[in-house]
Amino acid sequence: MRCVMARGVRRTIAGRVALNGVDLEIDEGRVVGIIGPNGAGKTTLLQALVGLVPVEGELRVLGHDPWKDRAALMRRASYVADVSIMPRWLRVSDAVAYYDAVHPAFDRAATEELLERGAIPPGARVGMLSKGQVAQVQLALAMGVDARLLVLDEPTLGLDILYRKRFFDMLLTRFAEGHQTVLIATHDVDEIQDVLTDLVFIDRGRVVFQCTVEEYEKRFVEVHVHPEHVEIAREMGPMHERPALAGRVLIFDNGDRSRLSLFGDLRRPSVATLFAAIVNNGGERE
Amino acid sequence: MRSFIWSVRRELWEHRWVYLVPVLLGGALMAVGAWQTGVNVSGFDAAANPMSAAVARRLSLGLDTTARMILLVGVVVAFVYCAEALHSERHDGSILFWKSLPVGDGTAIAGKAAVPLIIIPVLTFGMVLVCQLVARVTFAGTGGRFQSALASPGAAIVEAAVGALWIAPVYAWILLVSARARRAVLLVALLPAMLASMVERLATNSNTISQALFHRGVGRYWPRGHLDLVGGIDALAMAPAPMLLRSASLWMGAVVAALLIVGVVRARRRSAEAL
Repeated sequence: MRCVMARGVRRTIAGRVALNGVDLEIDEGRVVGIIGPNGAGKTTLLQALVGLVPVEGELRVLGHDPWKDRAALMRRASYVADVSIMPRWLRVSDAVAYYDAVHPAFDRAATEELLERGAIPPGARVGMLSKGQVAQVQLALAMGVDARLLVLDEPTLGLDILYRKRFFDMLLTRFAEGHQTVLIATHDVDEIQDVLTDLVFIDRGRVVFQCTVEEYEKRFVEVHVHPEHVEIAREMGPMHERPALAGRVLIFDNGDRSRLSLFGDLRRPSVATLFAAIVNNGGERE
Repeated sequence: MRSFIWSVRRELWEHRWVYLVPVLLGGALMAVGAWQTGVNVSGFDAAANPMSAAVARRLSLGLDTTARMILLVGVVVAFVYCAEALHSERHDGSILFWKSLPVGDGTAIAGKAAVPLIIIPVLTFGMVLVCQLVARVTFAGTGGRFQSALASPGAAIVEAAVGALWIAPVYAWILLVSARARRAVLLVALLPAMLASMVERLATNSNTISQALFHRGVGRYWPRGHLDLVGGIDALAMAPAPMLLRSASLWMGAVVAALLIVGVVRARRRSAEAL
């Protein structure tokens, strides 16, 4: 079943185009990385998906119009942005009680267990906790919700590497079951690469590329080419190249692997590298 | 209903001073009023030296003033709360957290409006009932009778509802400004009124606008002089609750308040956009 369907979604903020005709379709059960530079429109897109901002065009999330039906949609969806949105005066135990009261699909025991495992004092106010602890509280709350859609907007912003790892480990454990759809926007793409099933690249308010991770692994290959062989390698039509020590690194889309391996070891380009390659090529539509 | 009740609870978690200030300040006012009246009634005895009606009226005025001061504290707290209610969640970005939950903007605003319209009146009129009890105990055995417009529990309950409805448009206006203004909400809310009053004063040398606003805002609970204890009421704001209930002004204000609240809901719907 389709979880997200966007057609020609546009949003202009004070004369600046934030979303410039986004077309996107995401099936249920996928874990999608929304990847793009700052200002590309990631946050605006995710906020539109959970009904925080209105957009032009057609947008359906879990069958709802998010802007018109936000409260109904949020019964089946969770949204986690960076830790700064948690009210500092809120007690952890009150946050749990509030979720329990207003969320029909909330499993209080599961959240309390996660909080206990993270050694978060229930009586503490959010303002007294470290950033890492607040992130754990947010995730524990979001995970307590039996949501069909989890939207994460830079959920680990400002956290150190250990917390980031713990966060994504927790996320994987919970969402590996496969019936939930997860959308994650982050600039630490390579850190979450292993979690994802799909990639969506956004640049200047548009989806410039979308594919499954399987497809990405099958299609793209990079090879470090010695300066003497660069011209020959170029004849094979690389989609992108960049300078490297003693030669150049060329990226190919659906390249002939047996021929390319003659130039050197083949590697899979990182998601960040692929993003740069696609954006520099002016984007590609799937 | 459940979401509404929890929305109110969430308001009280965030703004604990909404009940702490009236309880503490009102408690202190009540203690001072009771002590002073206690001193003044000593020496009167129903049998030997009964209190005259005139003295009873004068002493009643003291406790009546205490009760009205408590109500006034409640109104001022409600004004400050209304200014904070939507501004604070926009200011600290936590509106994104609240809006990530399945609580509609209408329910959230109903929870916020319930604080000045229900929670604070219930609290302060509850304290007024305690004040009445103190007054009755103090006057007992003196031969005098406590006299006040708020002298019975029934009158206090009706007054709580009518009083809140009377001030509702002011609360709703401040809530609307709180949903829109970037800073200094109370100042921004007062600005149009201040400008209109100044223009009126300069143009016609009268102060109808400022008087009307005073009556609509705090006039109803402003401590009264001897005059109105003997029935000298000249402003509608000070009219007894049943009379006020029959006035067009009260119901026009209620309609304005309802329209403004619709505006507040619409403004909150869009308030995540400005972040």
